[in-house]
Amino acid sequence: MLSRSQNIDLWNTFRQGDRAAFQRIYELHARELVSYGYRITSNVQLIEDSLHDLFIDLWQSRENLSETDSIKFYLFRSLRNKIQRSQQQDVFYKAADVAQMHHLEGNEELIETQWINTEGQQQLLRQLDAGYQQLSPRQQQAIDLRFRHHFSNEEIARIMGINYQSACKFIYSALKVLRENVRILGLYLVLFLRDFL
Amino acid sequence: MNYYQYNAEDFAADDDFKEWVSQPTPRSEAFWRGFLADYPERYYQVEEGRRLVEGLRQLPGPPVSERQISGVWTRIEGTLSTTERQAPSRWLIRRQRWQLAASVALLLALGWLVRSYLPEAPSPLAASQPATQQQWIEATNEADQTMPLQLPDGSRIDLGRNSRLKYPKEFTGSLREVYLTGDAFFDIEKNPQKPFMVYTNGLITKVLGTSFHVSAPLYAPSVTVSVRSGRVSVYADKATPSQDPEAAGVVLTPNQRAVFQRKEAIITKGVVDKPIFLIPESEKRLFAFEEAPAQEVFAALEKAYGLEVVFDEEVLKKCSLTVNLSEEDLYQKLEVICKVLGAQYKFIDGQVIIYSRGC
Repeated sequence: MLSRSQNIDLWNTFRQGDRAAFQRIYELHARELVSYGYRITSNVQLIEDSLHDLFIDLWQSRENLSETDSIKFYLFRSLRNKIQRSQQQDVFYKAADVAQMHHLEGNEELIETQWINTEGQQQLLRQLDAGYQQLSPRQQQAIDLRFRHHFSNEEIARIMGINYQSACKFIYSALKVLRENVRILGLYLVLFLRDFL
Repeated sequence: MNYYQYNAEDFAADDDFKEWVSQPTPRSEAFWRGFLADYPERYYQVEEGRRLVEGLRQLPGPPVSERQISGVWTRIEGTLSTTERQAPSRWLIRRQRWQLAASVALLLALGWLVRSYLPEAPSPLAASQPATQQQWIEATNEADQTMPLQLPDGSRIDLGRNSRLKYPKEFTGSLREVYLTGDAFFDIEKNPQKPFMVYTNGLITKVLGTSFHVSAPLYAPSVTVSVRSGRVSVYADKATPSQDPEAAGVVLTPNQRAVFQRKEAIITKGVVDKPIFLIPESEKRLFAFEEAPAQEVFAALEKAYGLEVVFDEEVLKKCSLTVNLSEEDLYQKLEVICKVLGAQYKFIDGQVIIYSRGC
């Protein structure tokens, strides 16, 4: 991850028309953006098209962009707007759900699989995942933005285009469900306590 | 902050708490350690909150493949290189169209005035009229057959299926420029003063007058240019050329082709899949040899296909052969010749290399 000042530098270099900085921004954020895109739609084509359009717009309007210290926030919000707008307007995207096909192609190397290794943690993750699957798509989206992509509640509200209270509610209600999956059992308790004291 | 009343989900929903778990700083560390020392009964809630934050960060996300990421990037670059070339015309269309039209009208009027006052003098104003509003035509072939097109300069193009060609209504300026997505065969009218340029997926094909085929499917990782006649210069379309990009490209002659790998921006030269005869049909029969020295056979090949044949004259000095190869294509001819000579052949860099130990 880049530091705050590195982020600002990168953004400013890009705004001056530096193509390498532009590519760097893409490389830093494209994976996360695609990953987030899946939380809004399962249509891979739509996600990729929106990502493409987003970066074309970004390059073409670089001179009119303002300073920002959170490129990532800007990109996430723009991607969501793009996907939503296409979904509303374009019957083509509504009709085709290419996602399933794409998954079947399979056998591609996956980027985002950093599992932690100890058995206890694996178990914990499995339980958590089971809980996560029960959440509504909007809840999943909010949870992802918060924990996977490290946005603050305020930012999540703005990315998702909802007010702050609703964002907090989404997150809170989701966490309530998930909490059941990370309950500390009696045996663990003793061990943890011993560590702690 | 009433943290002492918090339960696990409250903690996980708190920005400061999340910050501490995912990126602890000495300050946050001190704060939360202090909190736990003050309220040890909140230990479970804190621990569960921590598990939520850490666990949710590490949940396996949706599958994102490298290919997908680099694929979209290639598309972005493709779009940008196309739109940037057309930037002037877009700029005109969008904004100052009226202003420009007005100033052009004014210029024309001025030019006409100057002209009418000085009937004999060539008007400098009229001569330096800028190439205004380039009008583009976009031909898209969605049919099953190839689509024949004729460009304003008389050049003929067969546009392949699912392909798109963008060209100006008139070739003003010093270059004839077109943009291709997909496949097309070009038969270009000779005009050394106005080179003809084909832009495709990051590759430029430049010719003076010749015929060649370009294959550049939208999402394909490579572009292939195959030459039928004339000379063709092929080079990468770099956004900021530090040197003459053409110098880093290759020159192709008939029956040669260049394959451009978009990702690595590498151009390799080779031989087309189906080399054709470059000499008149009537000379085909010259491919019957009787006790002919190897050298003579290779010279005939060179002449017929326009490809250089490289071999060791010293080694093949004593070799001669009797064959009739009038009907075979280049590959079959080489097979037969090499079999007779006990030699092998390879295509390297658009040339035919013969390996032999002599006869």
